[in-house]
Amino acid sequence: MESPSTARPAPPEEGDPEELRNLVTEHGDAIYRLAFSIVRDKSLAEDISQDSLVKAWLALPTLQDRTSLRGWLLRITHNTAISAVRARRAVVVDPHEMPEVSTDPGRSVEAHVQNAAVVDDFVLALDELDELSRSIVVLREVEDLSYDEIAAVLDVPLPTVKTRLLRARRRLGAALREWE
Amino acid sequence: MSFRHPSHAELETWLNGNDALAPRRYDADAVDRHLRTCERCAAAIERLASDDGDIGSQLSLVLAPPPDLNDRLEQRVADTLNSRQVLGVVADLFGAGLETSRMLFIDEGANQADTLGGTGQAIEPEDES
Repeated sequence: MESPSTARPAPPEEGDPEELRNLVTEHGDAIYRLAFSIVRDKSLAEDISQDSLVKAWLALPTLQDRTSLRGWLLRITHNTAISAVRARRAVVVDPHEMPEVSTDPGRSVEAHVQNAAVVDDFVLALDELDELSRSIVVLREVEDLSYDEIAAVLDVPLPTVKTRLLRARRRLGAALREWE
Repeated sequence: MSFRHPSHAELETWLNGNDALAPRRYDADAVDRHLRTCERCAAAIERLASDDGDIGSQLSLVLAPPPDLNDRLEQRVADTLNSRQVLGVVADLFGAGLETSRMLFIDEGANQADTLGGTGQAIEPEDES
């Protein structure tokens, strides 16, 4: 008689390591950027990226249409990040743990200071947007998704995508224009 | 549609989301509804928003992943999957342990009950000779 362990299909944990590597290489950055734009914390963004990839990997065999993989991954990431934000709502944020900004040490001090000020204003403007608007503007301006794709990923109506995007662009653009 | 086209000032106000500086007769909800159906005004507001600078490159800068992110992520994901796999094996072993216990103890009792034939009386084994 066949033992239960041999009759059972291989669990997704035992999938092809090469396929996992490809998944991370192709989508890791986009997943992280979306997570970071929502939670605004680098360490938490990395945790969310990991959780999202694990969830995706385990559910990958059930994904019917592999052409929608990117949108599907971003949707998992968005949901995971929003859950993390909701869980963190009650926690008081320490101002010293505000997002860090990478800078280029090779530039002149003046340019460095001005660049840092522009980035600070931009980050502030980004932080002042709500989570949905941040997701929308990142998916459009950085990940280059279409309006329809964004609506599908975030599960919001198309007009909402357009409205939030226009207003988010305006606010972020204003932060940039102040230093022009 | 009965609503008039919003003025340039009203579109600017809508775009900025700042009702405090709104022109007279401004109705944010009405502008919002109008923009969903009027292609001309939707295009006008796209033009107003188009000179908002290179937001994409600035966003890429402030959201840039750490350089070694993918290596670390791959390792962390693999570790998590491995630990899930180990947990699965332990759960299987635990399940096998339970099954063995059932066979050794519970089933033995059940067998004994069977041998009582539901009467409480022991059934004599059949003579195999």
